[in-house]
Amino acid sequence: MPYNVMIVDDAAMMRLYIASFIKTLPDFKVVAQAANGQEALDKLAAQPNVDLILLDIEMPVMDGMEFLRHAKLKTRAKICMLSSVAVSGSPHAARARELGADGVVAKPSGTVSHDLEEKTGDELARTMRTLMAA
Amino acid sequence: MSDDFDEMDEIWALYADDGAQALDAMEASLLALKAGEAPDAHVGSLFRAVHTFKGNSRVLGLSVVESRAHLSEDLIGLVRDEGVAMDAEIVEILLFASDVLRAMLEETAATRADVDPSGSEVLMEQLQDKIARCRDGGEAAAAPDPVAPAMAVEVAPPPPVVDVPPPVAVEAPPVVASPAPAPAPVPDPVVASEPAPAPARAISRLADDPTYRAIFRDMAQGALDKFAAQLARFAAEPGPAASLARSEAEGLKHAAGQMGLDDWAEALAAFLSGSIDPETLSALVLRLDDLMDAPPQVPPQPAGDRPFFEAIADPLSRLSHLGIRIATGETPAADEIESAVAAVRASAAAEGYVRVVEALDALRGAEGNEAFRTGELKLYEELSAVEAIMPEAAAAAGISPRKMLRSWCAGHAFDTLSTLETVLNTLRTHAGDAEFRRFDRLMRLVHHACEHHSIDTAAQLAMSLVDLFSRVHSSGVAPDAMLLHIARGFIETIELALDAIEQGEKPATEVLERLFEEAANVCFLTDGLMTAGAIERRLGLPSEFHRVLSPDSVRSAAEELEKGKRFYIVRTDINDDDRIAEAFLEWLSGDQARSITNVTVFRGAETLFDFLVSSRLDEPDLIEALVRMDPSGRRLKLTQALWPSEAEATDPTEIPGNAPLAQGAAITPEMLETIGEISASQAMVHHLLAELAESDLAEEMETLMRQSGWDWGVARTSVRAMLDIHAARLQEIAQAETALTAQLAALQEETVSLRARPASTVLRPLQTFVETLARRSRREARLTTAGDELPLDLSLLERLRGVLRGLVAIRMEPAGGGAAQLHVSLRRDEERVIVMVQDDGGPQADTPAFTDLVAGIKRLNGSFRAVPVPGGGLRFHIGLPLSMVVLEGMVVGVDGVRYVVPVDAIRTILQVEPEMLMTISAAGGQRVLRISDSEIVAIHRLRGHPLEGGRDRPWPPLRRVFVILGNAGRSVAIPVDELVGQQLVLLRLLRGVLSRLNHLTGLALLAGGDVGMVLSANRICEPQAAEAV
Repeated sequence: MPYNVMIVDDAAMMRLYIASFIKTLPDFKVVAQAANGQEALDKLAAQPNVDLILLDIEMPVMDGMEFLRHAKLKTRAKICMLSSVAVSGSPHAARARELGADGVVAKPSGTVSHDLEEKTGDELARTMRTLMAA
Repeated sequence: MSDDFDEMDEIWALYADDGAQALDAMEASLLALKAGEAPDAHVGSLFRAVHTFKGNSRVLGLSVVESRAHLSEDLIGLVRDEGVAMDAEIVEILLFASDVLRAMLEETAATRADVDPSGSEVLMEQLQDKIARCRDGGEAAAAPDPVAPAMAVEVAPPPPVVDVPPPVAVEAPPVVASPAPAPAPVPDPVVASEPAPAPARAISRLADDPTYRAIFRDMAQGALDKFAAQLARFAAEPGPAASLARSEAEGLKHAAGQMGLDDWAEALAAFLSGSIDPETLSALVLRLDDLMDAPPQVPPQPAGDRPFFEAIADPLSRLSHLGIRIATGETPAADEIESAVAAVRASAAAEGYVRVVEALDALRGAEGNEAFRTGELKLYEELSAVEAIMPEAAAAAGISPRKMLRSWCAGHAFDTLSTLETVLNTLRTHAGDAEFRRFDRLMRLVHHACEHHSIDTAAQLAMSLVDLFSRVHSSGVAPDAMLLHIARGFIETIELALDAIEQGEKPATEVLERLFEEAANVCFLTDGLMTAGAIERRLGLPSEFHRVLSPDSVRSAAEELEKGKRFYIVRTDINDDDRIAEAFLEWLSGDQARSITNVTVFRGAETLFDFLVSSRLDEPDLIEALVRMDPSGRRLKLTQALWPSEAEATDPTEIPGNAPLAQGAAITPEMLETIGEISASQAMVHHLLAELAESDLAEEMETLMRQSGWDWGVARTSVRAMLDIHAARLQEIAQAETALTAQLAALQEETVSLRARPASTVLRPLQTFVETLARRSRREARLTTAGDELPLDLSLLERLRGVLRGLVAIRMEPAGGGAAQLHVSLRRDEERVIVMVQDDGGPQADTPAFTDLVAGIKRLNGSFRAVPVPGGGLRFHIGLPLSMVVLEGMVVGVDGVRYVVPVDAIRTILQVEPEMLMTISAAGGQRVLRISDSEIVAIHRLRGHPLEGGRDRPWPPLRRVFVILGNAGRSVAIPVDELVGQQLVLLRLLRGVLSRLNHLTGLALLAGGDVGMVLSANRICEPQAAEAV
């Protein structure tokens, strides 16, 4: 049974890229997508069987950090930040860890990273699997 | 620059506005208190107002203003958190503070500079005096007075350094004024233990949350409807019906598992384990119907409809007291714990706080003091997360899990840091899952401790390190030297900072800023890249691109800069126009332009993206390309053309001596040039070899002979000319190969220099370390150093740091003679770094720590010797092998094995005649070589295999070539079979069993792929090394 994934990203193209990448992973399945944190919280309440959330940071309405603060209280789903500003050791990555992000992966080429699969695919897949195995 | 000024104007304007509002709020609260209103209605807002004002002042570097606000905040904090009564004197002092701060605000907003401290000395004295009197206890928890009628908050004893109260034992619910608990004995540090095992998931269930329960019910009803439909379909299409029923059951089982509904999951699992037919499906439907009708197991509801924090205040306090009893050796009745846990759990479950529920379940199962304490800590971390989203509710209930957690972590910080250092040492050698988990856990505790002391940079850096180590962990490799260096530097700095705080001093945080910068840049540095900052500066990127460049983006930008491409910022509005989005992204994938990075820009409700693009197109052509994709010109707009500046010689953020780790760690322009030259030379060699390969000497010769009628006399000149051309080509190749070798050697040296840091990287912190140790034992000690500028490899510095810290700590202890004056000097030779430590301590006892230290140095293949100093004290001579050293060596062959002899150690190379060899009977038949009329040297024989042979091995046939080594006035002759040539080699340290080979320094990869053994001239020239032959 594949793990259920929710993608939260305000860039429509990015949601498309991530979903397309996840299709290549037989052990994961995209069950929900949201364009901001508030929408994601609403969908999470309606769809509790999400196992993993891939979360962008900079989004309108409710950003990824704020979503993280709220979502971590009420869901057991693992949350992996996937953001261009979450470079290793950066203040954003540190803040995400502080708020309870289970994993942090940097998008390789900005908010819209069309080369996500090519450049970060392995790292993302490995992180997703590590989180689900933990 | 104009943008910068605009931004600063705006910041100062904000500071003035916010500050005025904060001071208005402060004044309003104080006036209300003065009028006799209850303190609990105003103290919170008073505290927040001053806290805000203090924070704003700090941001703008107004340290005098900040310090006055800080003291005011401290005084209010005593009232808010430690039960000090809000009396008329405090109100008056704070009103005075509010006036002073307002005057400061006006002055600083006008001058944009800090104020003169002398103008507020009276206020400082009043605040300090009142705070001191309150802390002395005479005024703590005073009886209610007319100004403070209802302040009945339990007093929390301030945590001493060692004898700290347990984490949750200090705060009682606001209404019940119970006496302060007796101090608990020092518990075992929880920090050293692993978190309690996760509880069985079934105990904490989403099913306890009414929202989730309703969602699951709907889902289950839907599944039952589908099962009914498949039952009806079974007769006609048994296969598809069974398949769909299975699929539906699997989905429902997964959801039941997530919900923690074990009875549902079991029923569905039983169904799925067998064959599916109408009978089993009917049985499942009946069973699920029963489960649907069964009343839900609703958890106990919190008393009444009280808010969460109010509802948990009392049971949480009970849990705290239970913790104290457990710590003092009591064993409370199981139902006492169960009752308190269940009450908090019920409130948490009702709110859907699943992680709080899990923490409580872990606490419920905790056995013994340590496990209970670990469980408590986890619970408080989870409750802190709840508090973070509704701090007002927690404050209203009079509890602050976050504050208590931080306070506990601060009380245990030294223990935590000590354990963390041990874990870090373990990670160097054994990077296992458990070690990474412990690192993560301990670093988070340090983070909380830093938050307690408001050392914000340190708190943030702690989480940066959590992030960095976590990524290393998931990548499956061990942390590298750079990361370990940052972590170690962090631990040392925090120890010093906490020490300073303990002494009432202001902690130095400059080092933390640098370490944080290094941590943020570590992914660039380890990749050998320019930093993101360097690219930002070179391209003059606007602020929206600050700190968003990933290593990939930096790499792309550096490549494009090298190629002389142009850079542009293109604003795109493509989120809801797939056609233009695809066209634009496809254009970026083509050969006209390349996307370096992009950032989100929020404009009202719209989400736009600014792309940093490099392109070979000039501005008009780029605009034309954008218009072709977006004729309207609304969705793709060129907003800025960038003009890259020349490459920086050095990164201004990396100050020499101040940032030893980052300094020079990026690829230098010289290295790039060398790499370019190597590439060109390699291409030339390739071209020449290809040309040579195409030529056929035999055929050319035959042609020339044929043309000359097979007459050699006629053909001779042509053939010679042809051979000369061939020889010239070969010579050209040889020259190109020589150039290539030299360039590679230069590159090798530059690469090694990237890892080199001055010894001061270790020696300066060592001086501080000595002062700290001395201060802790309330005496004075001083360390002087020599050789600070000596460049050494990072990994060697790591080893050196451990050895020196260990030795200094041992020598400063009473058992180590209580040294108070220490001197460390460093120098190096071709093979070793030689350390001399001299002190004024007494004789050294064989303590376990000392024995371990010496054994550790031996394990590093080092040497250690202690010598008494006439007049008192000891001198220690320590030698550690160098690592990552490039040396010039003569490669020689013996029995088919390659050895590298350091060129600097070679006195001469001789071809000897048999009569130059002599045997000295008085020395047990030792063979020697007469190298001049007046000098005879011992012979050291190399063996074909370093691990085999001994003195009794037969001497091989006479070798005529001898390499004469000289070191420290002694010489040795080494017979060799052949001299292969001179070469720059990168020395690699011996590991494992090879490290026991005394006469070798290390290994080196030679030209042609052979491995050479690098001889140690020091050791070979020692008197006992010469062998009889």
